[in-house]
Amino acid sequence: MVDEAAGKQGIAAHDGRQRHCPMLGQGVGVSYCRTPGDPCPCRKIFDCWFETFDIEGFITTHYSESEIGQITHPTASRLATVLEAVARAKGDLK
Amino acid sequence: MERTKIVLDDNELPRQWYNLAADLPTPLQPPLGPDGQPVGPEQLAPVFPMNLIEQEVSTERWIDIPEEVLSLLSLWRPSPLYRARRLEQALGTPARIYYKHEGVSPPGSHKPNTAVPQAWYNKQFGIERLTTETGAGQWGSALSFACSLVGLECKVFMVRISFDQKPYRRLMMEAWGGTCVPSPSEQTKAGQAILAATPDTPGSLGIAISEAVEAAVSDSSGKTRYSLGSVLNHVLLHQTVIGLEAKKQLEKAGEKQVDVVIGCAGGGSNFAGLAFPFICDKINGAEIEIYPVEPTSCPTLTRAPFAYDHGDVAGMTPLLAMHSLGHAFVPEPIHAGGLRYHGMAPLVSAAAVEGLITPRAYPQLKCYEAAVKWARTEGFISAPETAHAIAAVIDEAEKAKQEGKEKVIVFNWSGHGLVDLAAYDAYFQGKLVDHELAQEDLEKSTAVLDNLPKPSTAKTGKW
Repeated sequence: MVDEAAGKQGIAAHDGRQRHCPMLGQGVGVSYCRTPGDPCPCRKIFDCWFETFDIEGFITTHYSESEIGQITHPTASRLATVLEAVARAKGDLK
Repeated sequence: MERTKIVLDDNELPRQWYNLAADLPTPLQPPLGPDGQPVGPEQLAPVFPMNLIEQEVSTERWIDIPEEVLSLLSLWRPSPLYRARRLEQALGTPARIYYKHEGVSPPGSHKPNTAVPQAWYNKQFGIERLTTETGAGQWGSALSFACSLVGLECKVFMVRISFDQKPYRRLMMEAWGGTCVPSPSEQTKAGQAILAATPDTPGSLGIAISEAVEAAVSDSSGKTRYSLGSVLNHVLLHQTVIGLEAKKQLEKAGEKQVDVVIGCAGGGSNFAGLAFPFICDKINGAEIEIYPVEPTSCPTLTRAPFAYDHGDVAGMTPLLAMHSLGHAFVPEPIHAGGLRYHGMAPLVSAAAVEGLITPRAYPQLKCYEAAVKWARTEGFISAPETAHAIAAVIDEAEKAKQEGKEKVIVFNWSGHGLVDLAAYDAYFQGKLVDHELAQEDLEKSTAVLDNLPKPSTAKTGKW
Protein backbone atom coordinates (compact mmCIF):
# COMPACT_ATOMS: atom_id res chain seq x y z
CA MET A 1 0.00 0.00 0.00
CA VAL A 2 1.43 3.33 -1.00
CA ASP A 3 1.69 5.87 1.80
CA GLU A 4 -0.69 8.71 0.96
CA ALA A 5 1.53 11.37 2.49
CA ALA A 6 4.50 10.13 0.53
CA GLY A 7 2.52 10.11 -2.66
CA LYS A 8 1.24 13.61 -2.14
CA GLN A 9 4.36 15.29 -0.88
CA GLY A 10 7.07 13.44 -2.76
CA ILE A 11 10.26 11.87 -1.67
CA ALA A 12 10.92 14.46 1.04
CA ALA A 13 7.58 13.85 2.74
CA HIS A 14 9.07 12.08 5.74
CA ASP A 15 12.39 13.86 5.97
CA GLY A 16 11.53 15.48 9.27
CA ARG A 17 11.08 12.19 11.13
CA GLN A 18 13.95 11.49 13.50
CA ARG A 19 15.31 8.35 15.15
CA HIS A 20 18.50 6.87 16.55
CA CYS A 21 20.69 5.37 13.83
CA PRO A 22 22.17 2.04 14.98
CA MET A 23 24.95 2.36 12.41
CA LEU A 24 26.13 5.84 13.27
CA GLY A 25 25.14 5.93 16.91
CA GLN A 26 23.25 9.20 16.66
CA GLY A 27 19.89 10.61 15.74
CA VAL A 28 19.14 11.06 12.03
CA GLY A 29 16.17 11.98 9.89
CA VAL A 30 14.66 10.06 7.00
CA SER A 31 16.42 12.61 4.85
CA TYR A 32 19.67 10.84 5.75
CA CYS A 33 18.32 7.32 5.55
CA ARG A 34 17.30 7.74 1.92
CA THR A 35 20.67 9.04 0.75
CA PRO A 36 23.78 7.17 1.97
CA GLY A 37 23.67 4.46 -0.69
CA ASP A 38 23.10 7.11 -3.31
CA PRO A 39 20.98 6.76 -5.31
CA CYS A 40 19.71 4.07 -2.97
CA PRO A 41 18.67 4.47 0.66
CA CYS A 42 20.46 2.87 3.57
CA ARG A 43 20.05 -0.86 3.65
CA LYS A 44 18.54 -0.68 7.10
CA ILE A 45 15.81 1.76 6.14
CA PHE A 46 13.05 -0.83 6.39
CA ASP A 47 14.18 -2.07 9.79
CA CYS A 48 14.49 1.38 11.21
CA TRP A 49 11.28 2.93 9.95
CA PHE A 50 8.64 0.27 9.42
CA GLU A 51 7.43 0.81 12.97
CA THR A 52 6.90 4.51 12.39
CA PHE A 53 5.33 4.90 8.96
CA ASP A 54 4.63 2.95 5.78
CA ILE A 55 8.22 2.66 4.66
CA GLU A 56 7.39 -0.15 2.24
CA GLY A 57 4.91 2.05 0.45
CA PHE A 58 7.34 4.93 0.49
CA ILE A 59 10.14 2.86 -1.05
CA THR A 60 8.00 1.21 -3.69
CA THR A 61 6.65 4.63 -4.66
CA HIS A 62 10.01 6.29 -5.09
CA TYR A 63 12.48 3.58 -6.10
CA SER A 64 12.77 1.14 -8.96
CA GLU A 65 12.70 -2.61 -8.58
CA SER A 66 16.45 -2.85 -9.13
CA GLU A 67 17.11 -0.14 -6.56
CA ILE A 68 14.90 -1.96 -4.07
CA GLY A 69 16.89 -5.09 -4.84
CA GLN A 70 20.06 -3.26 -3.83
CA ILE A 71 18.49 -1.97 -0.65
CA THR A 72 17.42 -5.40 0.46
CA HIS A 73 20.87 -6.89 0.15
CA PRO A 74 22.01 -7.56 3.71
CA THR A 75 25.02 -5.73 5.05
CA ALA A 76 28.25 -7.63 4.62
CA SER A 77 30.12 -8.78 7.69
CA ARG A 78 32.72 -6.29 8.81
CA LEU A 79 35.71 -8.47 7.93
CA ALA A 80 34.26 -9.19 4.50
CA THR A 81 33.71 -5.48 3.96
CA VAL A 82 37.29 -4.72 4.94
CA LEU A 83 38.80 -7.40 2.69
CA GLU A 84 36.66 -6.18 -0.18
CA ALA A 85 37.90 -2.64 0.45
CA VAL A 86 41.48 -3.91 0.45
CA ALA A 87 40.95 -5.58 -2.90
CA ARG A 88 39.34 -2.43 -4.27
CA ALA A 89 42.14 -0.22 -3.00
CA LYS A 90 44.73 -2.49 -4.58
CA GLY A 91 42.85 -2.38 -7.86
CA ASP A 92 41.75 -5.99 -7.76
CA LEU A 93 38.12 -4.91 -7.82
CA LYS A 94 36.47 -2.02 -9.52
CA MET B 1 27.79 0.82 55.41
CA GLU B 2 27.23 -1.90 52.84
CA ARG B 3 29.85 -2.24 50.19
CA THR B 4 28.84 -0.99 46.73
CA LYS B 5 32.11 -1.03 44.79
CA ILE B 6 34.72 -3.76 44.68
CA VAL B 7 37.98 -2.33 43.42
CA LEU B 8 41.31 -3.90 42.58
CA ASP B 9 44.74 -2.38 42.96
CA ASP B 10 46.63 -1.49 39.80
CA ASN B 11 48.95 -4.41 40.37
CA GLU B 12 45.98 -6.76 40.29
CA LEU B 13 45.33 -6.08 36.63
CA PRO B 14 45.27 -9.40 34.76
CA ARG B 15 48.71 -10.18 33.29
CA GLN B 16 47.34 -12.28 30.45
CA TRP B 17 44.40 -12.25 28.08
CA TYR B 18 42.26 -15.34 27.87
CA ASN B 19 41.82 -16.93 24.44
CA LEU B 20 38.63 -18.96 24.20
CA ALA B 21 39.81 -20.48 20.91
CA ALA B 22 42.14 -22.68 22.94
CA ASP B 23 39.33 -24.25 24.93
CA LEU B 24 36.48 -24.56 22.50
CA PRO B 25 35.57 -28.25 22.46
CA THR B 26 35.34 -28.06 18.68
CA PRO B 27 38.02 -25.99 16.90
CA LEU B 28 37.10 -22.62 15.47
CA GLN B 29 36.50 -22.87 11.76
CA PRO B 30 38.39 -20.44 9.57
CA PRO B 31 36.75 -17.89 7.30
CA LEU B 32 36.72 -19.08 3.69
CA GLY B 33 37.35 -17.06 0.56
CA PRO B 34 35.13 -17.08 -2.51
CA ASP B 35 37.16 -20.01 -3.78
CA GLY B 36 36.26 -21.99 -0.70
CA GLN B 37 39.78 -21.78 0.71
CA PRO B 38 40.54 -20.33 4.15
CA VAL B 39 41.40 -16.65 4.33
CA GLY B 40 45.07 -16.55 5.23
CA PRO B 41 47.29 -14.11 7.09
CA GLU B 42 48.59 -12.75 3.79
CA GLN B 43 45.14 -11.39 3.00
CA LEU B 44 45.02 -9.60 6.33
CA ALA B 45 48.59 -8.29 6.18
CA PRO B 46 47.85 -5.17 4.12
CA VAL B 47 45.61 -3.85 6.88
CA PHE B 48 46.82 -5.43 10.13
CA PRO B 49 50.33 -5.81 11.59
CA MET B 50 51.65 -9.34 11.81
CA ASN B 51 51.78 -9.38 15.62
CA LEU B 52 48.01 -8.80 15.73
CA ILE B 53 47.42 -11.31 12.94
CA GLU B 54 49.30 -13.84 15.07
CA GLN B 55 46.88 -13.14 17.88
CA GLU B 56 44.00 -13.39 15.44
CA VAL B 57 44.90 -16.97 14.55
CA SER B 58 46.40 -18.02 17.88
CA THR B 59 45.10 -21.02 19.77
CA GLU B 60 47.26 -20.36 22.85
CA ARG B 61 45.06 -20.25 25.95
CA TRP B 62 46.82 -17.37 27.64
CA ILE B 63 48.56 -14.51 25.89
CA ASP B 64 50.79 -12.24 27.94
CA ILE B 65 49.82 -8.61 28.20
CA PRO B 66 52.99 -6.56 27.69
CA GLU B 67 54.07 -4.47 30.67
CA GLU B 68 53.73 -1.26 28.71
CA VAL B 69 50.17 -2.14 27.76
CA LEU B 70 49.38 -2.91 31.40
CA SER B 71 50.75 0.47 32.35
CA LEU B 72 48.53 2.18 29.78
CA LEU B 73 45.44 0.20 30.74
CA SER B 74 46.01 1.15 34.37
CA LEU B 75 44.91 4.69 33.53
CA TRP B 76 41.36 3.47 34.10
CA ARG B 77 41.69 -0.22 34.86
CA PRO B 78 40.94 -2.26 36.84
CA SER B 79 37.41 -0.98 36.37
CA PRO B 80 35.19 -1.19 39.45
CA LEU B 81 32.72 -3.99 39.98
CA TYR B 82 29.52 -2.54 41.41
CA ARG B 83 26.85 -4.23 43.45
CA ALA B 84 23.51 -2.94 42.13
CA ARG B 85 21.93 -2.77 45.57
CA ARG B 86 19.35 -0.13 44.74
CA LEU B 87 18.08 -2.10 41.75
CA GLU B 88 17.95 -5.23 43.88
CA GLN B 89 15.87 -3.36 46.44
CA ALA B 90 13.56 -1.93 43.81
CA LEU B 91 12.95 -5.39 42.41
CA GLY B 92 12.71 -7.04 45.80
CA THR B 93 14.89 -9.82 44.53
CA PRO B 94 17.04 -12.15 46.59
CA ALA B 95 19.54 -12.13 43.70
CA ARG B 96 22.82 -10.31 44.12
CA ILE B 97 23.44 -8.24 41.01
CA TYR B 98 26.95 -7.12 40.04
CA TYR B 99 28.08 -5.09 37.08
CA LYS B 100 31.42 -4.17 35.58
CA HIS B 101 31.48 -0.43 35.04
CA GLU B 102 33.23 0.01 31.70
CA GLY B 103 32.09 3.60 31.44
CA VAL B 104 35.07 4.73 33.52
CA SER B 105 37.50 4.76 30.59
CA PRO B 106 38.35 8.20 29.21
CA PRO B 107 36.15 7.73 26.12
CA GLY B 108 33.40 6.23 28.27
CA SER B 109 33.09 2.66 27.01
CA HIS B 110 34.84 -0.72 26.84
CA LYS B 111 36.34 0.07 23.43
CA PRO B 112 39.74 1.33 24.65
CA ASN B 113 40.42 -2.15 26.07
CA THR B 114 41.31 -3.19 22.53
CA ALA B 115 42.17 0.22 21.06
CA VAL B 116 45.14 0.57 23.40
CA PRO B 117 46.77 -2.82 22.73
CA GLN B 118 46.07 -2.49 19.01
CA ALA B 119 47.84 0.87 18.95
CA TRP B 120 50.73 -0.52 20.98
CA TYR B 121 51.23 -3.60 18.79
CA ASN B 122 51.14 -1.47 15.68
CA LYS B 123 53.78 0.79 17.20
CA GLN B 124 55.94 -2.22 17.99
CA PHE B 125 55.59 -3.38 14.41
CA GLY B 126 57.00 -0.08 13.20
CA ILE B 127 53.71 1.41 12.16
CA GLU B 128 53.48 5.18 12.43
CA ARG B 129 49.81 5.85 11.83
CA LEU B 130 46.47 4.12 12.08
CA THR B 131 43.32 4.72 10.13
CA THR B 132 39.79 3.77 10.97
CA GLU B 133 36.20 4.72 10.33
CA THR B 134 33.58 5.90 12.75
CA GLY B 135 29.96 6.92 12.79
CA ALA B 136 29.14 9.20 15.67
CA GLY B 137 32.62 8.62 17.01
CA GLN B 138 32.53 5.88 19.65
CA TRP B 139 35.30 3.81 18.11
CA GLY B 140 37.11 6.76 16.56
CA SER B 141 37.44 8.48 19.90
CA ALA B 142 38.68 5.29 21.56
CA LEU B 143 41.36 4.80 18.91
CA SER B 144 42.41 8.45 18.97
CA PHE B 145 42.82 8.17 22.72
CA ALA B 146 44.87 5.00 22.32
CA CYS B 147 47.11 6.47 19.65
CA SER B 148 47.79 9.49 21.81
CA LEU B 149 49.04 7.17 24.53
CA VAL B 150 51.55 5.33 22.35
CA GLY B 151 52.58 8.13 20.02
CA LEU B 152 50.92 7.13 16.78
CA GLU B 153 49.18 9.36 14.31
CA CYS B 154 45.52 8.57 14.02
CA LYS B 155 43.29 9.40 11.12
CA VAL B 156 39.58 8.80 11.56
CA PHE B 157 37.20 8.95 8.63
CA MET B 158 33.99 10.12 10.22
CA VAL B 159 30.73 9.88 8.33
CA ARG B 160 30.01 13.41 7.17
CA ILE B 161 26.59 13.76 8.72
CA SER B 162 28.08 12.85 12.09
CA PHE B 163 31.05 15.14 11.52
CA ASP B 164 28.67 18.01 10.85
CA GLN B 165 26.04 17.30 13.47
CA LYS B 166 27.84 15.58 16.34
CA PRO B 167 30.86 17.62 17.33
CA TYR B 168 31.45 16.15 20.77
CA ARG B 169 33.24 12.93 19.92
CA ARG B 170 34.98 14.65 17.01
CA LEU B 171 36.30 17.15 19.49
CA MET B 172 37.32 14.32 21.79
CA MET B 173 39.34 12.85 18.92
CA GLU B 174 40.99 16.18 18.26
CA ALA B 175 41.67 16.69 21.94
CA TRP B 176 43.60 13.41 21.86
CA GLY B 177 45.49 14.51 18.77
CA GLY B 178 43.62 12.49 16.19
CA THR B 179 42.84 13.82 12.75
CA CYS B 180 39.16 13.58 12.05
CA VAL B 181 38.23 13.76 8.38
CA PRO B 182 34.66 14.05 7.14
CA SER B 183 33.89 11.15 4.83
CA PRO B 184 33.68 11.10 1.89
CA SER B 185 36.84 13.14 1.55
CA GLU B 186 39.18 14.27 -1.21
CA GLN B 187 41.96 12.28 0.43
CA THR B 188 41.12 8.94 -1.19
CA LYS B 189 40.07 7.75 -4.61
CA ALA B 190 36.98 6.19 -3.11
CA GLY B 191 36.01 9.49 -1.53
CA GLN B 192 36.82 11.50 -4.63
CA ALA B 193 34.60 9.29 -6.76
CA ILE B 194 31.68 9.68 -4.40
CA LEU B 195 32.12 13.44 -4.13
CA ALA B 196 32.34 13.81 -7.89
CA ALA B 197 29.04 12.03 -8.30
CA THR B 198 27.24 13.46 -5.29
CA PRO B 199 28.98 16.46 -3.75
CA ASP B 200 26.33 16.89 -1.06
CA THR B 201 26.29 13.30 0.14
CA PRO B 202 26.05 12.88 3.92
CA GLY B 203 28.35 9.86 3.69
CA SER B 204 27.90 6.38 5.08
CA LEU B 205 29.78 3.90 7.20
CA GLY B 206 30.51 1.80 4.11
CA ILE B 207 32.18 4.75 2.37
CA ALA B 208 34.15 5.56 5.51
CA ILE B 209 35.42 1.97 5.73
CA SER B 210 36.53 2.12 2.10
CA GLU B 211 38.40 5.36 2.73
CA ALA B 212 40.08 4.16 5.91
CA VAL B 213 41.21 0.93 4.30
CA GLU B 214 42.41 2.70 1.16
CA ALA B 215 44.35 5.22 3.23
CA ALA B 216 46.15 2.35 4.94
CA VAL B 217 46.74 0.16 1.89
CA SER B 218 47.84 2.97 -0.42
CA ASP B 219 50.54 4.35 1.86
CA SER B 220 53.65 3.45 -0.11
CA SER B 221 55.83 3.79 2.97
CA GLY B 222 54.11 0.78 4.49
CA LYS B 223 53.84 2.63 7.78
CA THR B 224 50.07 2.81 7.93
CA ARG B 225 47.61 0.18 9.04
CA TYR B 226 43.88 -0.03 9.66
CA SER B 227 42.20 -0.76 12.95
CA LEU B 228 38.89 -2.46 13.70
CA GLY B 229 37.05 -2.34 17.01
CA SER B 230 34.76 -5.37 16.91
CA VAL B 231 34.13 -8.87 15.55
CA LEU B 232 37.73 -10.09 15.11
CA ASN B 233 39.28 -12.65 17.45
CA HIS B 234 42.07 -10.40 18.71
CA VAL B 235 39.54 -7.68 19.54
CA LEU B 236 37.58 -10.13 21.67
CA LEU B 237 40.81 -11.39 23.22
CA HIS B 238 41.79 -7.92 24.42
CA GLN B 239 38.40 -7.42 26.00
CA THR B 240 38.77 -10.43 28.29
CA VAL B 241 40.40 -8.23 30.93
CA ILE B 242 36.82 -7.36 31.86
CA GLY B 243 35.84 -10.89 32.84
CA LEU B 244 39.20 -11.73 34.36
CA GLU B 245 38.98 -8.71 36.64
CA ALA B 246 35.38 -9.50 37.49
CA LYS B 247 36.32 -12.96 38.69
CA LYS B 248 38.89 -11.53 41.07
CA GLN B 249 36.45 -8.94 42.32
CA LEU B 250 33.67 -11.44 42.90
CA GLU B 251 36.09 -13.48 44.95
CA LYS B 252 36.86 -10.38 47.02
CA ALA B 253 33.14 -9.85 47.46
CA GLY B 254 32.93 -13.29 48.94
CA GLU B 255 31.05 -14.86 46.07
CA LYS B 256 32.01 -18.47 45.58
CA GLN B 257 29.78 -19.14 42.62
CA VAL B 258 28.35 -17.13 39.75
CA ASP B 259 24.99 -18.29 38.47
CA VAL B 260 24.28 -15.95 35.57
CA VAL B 261 26.51 -13.90 33.22
CA ILE B 262 24.94 -11.41 30.83
CA GLY B 263 26.19 -9.07 28.10
CA CYS B 264 24.70 -7.35 25.09
CA ALA B 265 25.72 -8.89 21.78
CA GLY B 266 26.35 -6.52 18.90
CA GLY B 267 29.70 -7.05 17.25
CA GLY B 268 30.34 -9.42 20.16
CA SER B 269 33.27 -7.74 21.85
CA ASN B 270 31.68 -6.42 25.02
CA PHE B 271 29.79 -9.65 25.63
CA ALA B 272 32.92 -11.68 24.96
CA GLY B 273 35.00 -9.50 27.24
CA LEU B 274 32.97 -10.40 30.28
CA ALA B 275 31.74 -13.84 29.30
CA PHE B 276 34.71 -15.69 27.83
CA PRO B 277 36.55 -16.21 31.14
CA PHE B 278 33.31 -17.57 32.62
CA ILE B 279 32.83 -19.81 29.59
CA CYS B 280 36.25 -21.21 30.47
CA ASP B 281 34.88 -22.07 33.93
CA LYS B 282 31.81 -23.62 32.36
CA ILE B 283 33.93 -25.76 30.07
CA ASN B 284 35.73 -26.93 33.19
CA GLY B 285 32.58 -27.91 35.02
CA ALA B 286 31.06 -24.76 36.54
CA GLU B 287 27.30 -24.44 36.34
CA ILE B 288 26.76 -20.99 34.87
CA GLU B 289 24.07 -19.66 32.59
CA ILE B 290 25.59 -17.26 30.09
CA TYR B 291 23.31 -15.03 28.06
CA PRO B 292 24.27 -12.84 25.10
CA VAL B 293 21.36 -10.48 24.51
CA GLU B 294 20.36 -9.11 21.13
CA PRO B 295 17.40 -7.18 19.72
CA THR B 296 14.30 -9.23 18.93
CA SER B 297 14.13 -7.67 15.49
CA CYS B 298 17.65 -8.87 14.68
CA PRO B 299 17.71 -12.45 15.90
CA THR B 300 21.17 -13.38 14.66
CA LEU B 301 22.04 -15.77 17.46
CA THR B 302 18.61 -16.67 18.74
CA ARG B 303 16.97 -17.84 15.54
CA ALA B 304 19.36 -17.84 12.61
CA PRO B 305 21.11 -21.06 11.59
CA PHE B 306 24.87 -21.57 11.74
CA ALA B 307 26.29 -21.70 8.26
CA TYR B 308 28.90 -20.42 5.89
CA ASP B 309 27.60 -17.30 4.26
CA HIS B 310 28.85 -14.54 2.03
CA GLY B 311 28.55 -10.97 3.14
CA ASP B 312 27.12 -9.95 -0.21
CA VAL B 313 24.61 -11.17 -2.71
CA ALA B 314 27.14 -11.38 -5.53
CA GLY B 315 29.20 -13.82 -3.52
CA MET B 316 32.36 -11.76 -3.93
CA THR B 317 33.16 -11.49 -0.24
CA PRO B 318 34.74 -14.31 1.78
CA LEU B 319 32.64 -17.03 3.29
CA LEU B 320 32.47 -16.88 7.05
CA ALA B 321 31.11 -19.49 9.38
CA MET B 322 28.49 -17.65 11.37
CA HIS B 323 24.95 -17.40 12.49
CA SER B 324 23.35 -15.78 9.50
CA LEU B 325 19.98 -14.67 8.33
CA GLY B 326 21.07 -15.33 4.79
CA HIS B 327 23.03 -13.20 2.39
CA ALA B 328 20.15 -12.64 -0.01
CA PHE B 329 17.47 -12.11 2.54
CA VAL B 330 14.54 -10.26 1.08
CA PRO B 331 11.88 -10.35 3.75
CA GLU B 332 8.22 -10.73 2.96
CA PRO B 333 6.86 -8.26 3.60
CA ILE B 334 10.07 -6.40 3.02
CA HIS B 335 9.74 -4.44 6.23
CA ALA B 336 9.75 -7.60 8.33
CA GLY B 337 13.27 -7.13 9.59
CA GLY B 338 16.39 -9.15 9.03
CA LEU B 339 18.15 -6.54 6.97
CA ARG B 340 20.29 -5.65 9.91
CA TYR B 341 23.86 -6.70 10.44
CA HIS B 342 23.63 -10.42 9.99
CA GLY B 343 26.99 -11.63 11.19
CA MET B 344 28.30 -12.36 14.63
CA ALA B 345 31.87 -12.76 15.87
CA PRO B 346 32.90 -16.32 14.92
CA LEU B 347 34.04 -17.15 18.47
CA VAL B 348 30.67 -16.12 19.87
CA SER B 349 28.85 -18.11 17.19
CA ALA B 350 30.96 -21.17 17.96
CA ALA B 351 30.20 -20.91 21.68
CA ALA B 352 26.50 -20.72 20.86
CA VAL B 353 26.67 -23.78 18.61
CA GLU B 354 28.35 -25.72 21.40
CA GLY B 355 25.64 -24.68 23.82
CA LEU B 356 28.03 -22.86 26.11
CA ILE B 357 25.99 -19.69 25.83
CA THR B 358 22.24 -19.25 25.53
CA PRO B 359 21.31 -16.32 23.31
CA ARG B 360 18.30 -14.21 24.20
CA ALA B 361 16.45 -11.51 22.32
CA TYR B 362 14.60 -8.54 23.74
CA PRO B 363 12.29 -5.99 22.14
CA GLN B 364 13.44 -2.40 22.22
CA LEU B 365 10.66 -1.04 24.41
CA LYS B 366 11.52 -3.46 27.16
CA CYS B 367 15.18 -2.44 26.88
CA TYR B 368 14.47 1.26 27.24
CA GLU B 369 12.08 0.56 30.09
CA ALA B 370 14.90 -1.32 31.79
CA ALA B 371 17.41 1.43 31.10
CA VAL B 372 15.12 4.02 32.66
CA LYS B 373 14.58 1.83 35.71
CA TRP B 374 18.33 1.49 35.92
CA ALA B 375 18.86 5.25 35.70
CA ARG B 376 16.30 5.81 38.45
CA THR B 377 17.88 3.25 40.78
CA GLU B 378 21.59 2.99 40.01
CA GLY B 379 21.85 6.48 38.55
CA PHE B 380 23.92 5.84 35.46
CA ILE B 381 22.54 6.58 31.99
CA SER B 382 23.20 3.52 29.86
CA ALA B 383 24.21 3.33 26.22
CA PRO B 384 21.31 1.98 24.13
CA GLU B 385 23.18 -1.28 23.52
CA THR B 386 23.82 -1.76 27.22
CA ALA B 387 20.09 -1.48 27.87
CA HIS B 388 19.60 -4.93 26.33
CA ALA B 389 21.76 -6.48 29.03
CA ILE B 390 19.90 -4.62 31.77
CA ALA B 391 16.56 -5.96 30.51
CA ALA B 392 17.87 -9.50 30.79
CA VAL B 393 19.32 -8.82 34.23
CA ILE B 394 15.94 -7.61 35.50
CA ASP B 395 14.25 -10.71 34.09
CA GLU B 396 16.75 -12.97 35.79
CA ALA B 397 16.44 -11.11 39.07
CA GLU B 398 12.66 -11.44 38.97
CA LYS B 399 12.99 -15.11 38.12
CA ALA B 400 15.22 -15.55 41.17
CA LYS B 401 12.55 -13.81 43.23
CA GLN B 402 9.88 -16.19 41.99
CA GLU B 403 12.11 -19.16 42.69
CA GLY B 404 13.26 -17.78 46.02
CA LYS B 405 16.90 -18.30 45.05
CA GLU B 406 19.86 -16.12 46.01
CA LYS B 407 21.42 -16.15 42.57
CA VAL B 408 24.55 -14.21 41.70
CA ILE B 409 24.07 -12.27 38.47
CA VAL B 410 26.96 -10.48 36.75
CA PHE B 411 26.72 -8.29 33.69
CA ASN B 412 28.76 -5.88 31.65
CA TRP B 413 27.67 -2.26 31.86
CA SER B 414 29.56 -1.50 28.70
CA GLY B 415 29.27 2.25 28.51
CA HIS B 416 27.35 5.38 29.29
CA GLY B 417 24.73 6.89 27.03
CA LEU B 418 25.39 10.54 27.68
CA VAL B 419 25.96 11.28 24.02
CA ASP B 420 23.18 8.91 22.91
CA LEU B 421 20.28 10.72 24.49
CA ALA B 422 18.34 11.10 21.25
CA ALA B 423 17.43 7.43 21.57
CA TYR B 424 15.96 8.10 24.98
CA ASP B 425 14.10 11.07 23.55
CA ALA B 426 12.46 8.82 20.96
CA TYR B 427 11.43 6.43 23.72
CA PHE B 428 10.05 9.14 25.97
CA GLN B 429 8.07 10.60 23.09
CA GLY B 430 6.49 7.23 22.33
CA LYS B 431 8.04 7.00 18.89
CA LEU B 432 9.27 3.43 19.34
CA VAL B 433 7.25 0.29 18.77
CA ASP B 434 8.28 -3.34 18.85
CA HIS B 435 8.62 -5.87 16.09
CA GLU B 436 9.61 -9.50 15.85
CA LEU B 437 10.75 -11.40 12.75
CA ALA B 438 8.15 -13.96 11.68
CA GLN B 439 9.25 -17.59 11.44
CA GLU B 440 7.97 -17.77 7.86
CA ASP B 441 10.19 -14.84 6.84
CA LEU B 442 13.14 -16.37 8.61
CA GLU B 443 12.74 -19.66 6.75
CA LYS B 444 12.60 -17.86 3.43
CA SER B 445 15.69 -15.86 4.19
CA THR B 446 17.81 -18.80 5.18
CA ALA B 447 16.89 -20.95 2.18
CA VAL B 448 19.67 -19.18 0.26
CA LEU B 449 22.22 -20.90 2.48
CA ASP B 450 21.32 -24.33 1.11
CA ASN B 451 23.84 -24.23 -1.74
CA LEU B 452 26.81 -22.97 0.30
CA PRO B 453 29.39 -25.11 2.11
CA LYS B 454 28.17 -26.31 5.46
CA PRO B 455 30.33 -25.70 8.53
CA SER B 456 30.56 -28.45 11.04
CA THR B 457 27.98 -28.09 13.77
CA ALA B 458 29.38 -31.04 15.65
CA LYS B 459 29.34 -30.51 19.37
CA THR B 460 30.22 -32.55 22.38
CA GLY B 461 26.68 -32.45 23.72
CA LYS B 462 27.93 -31.57 27.20
CA TRP B 463 26.05 -28.27 27.38
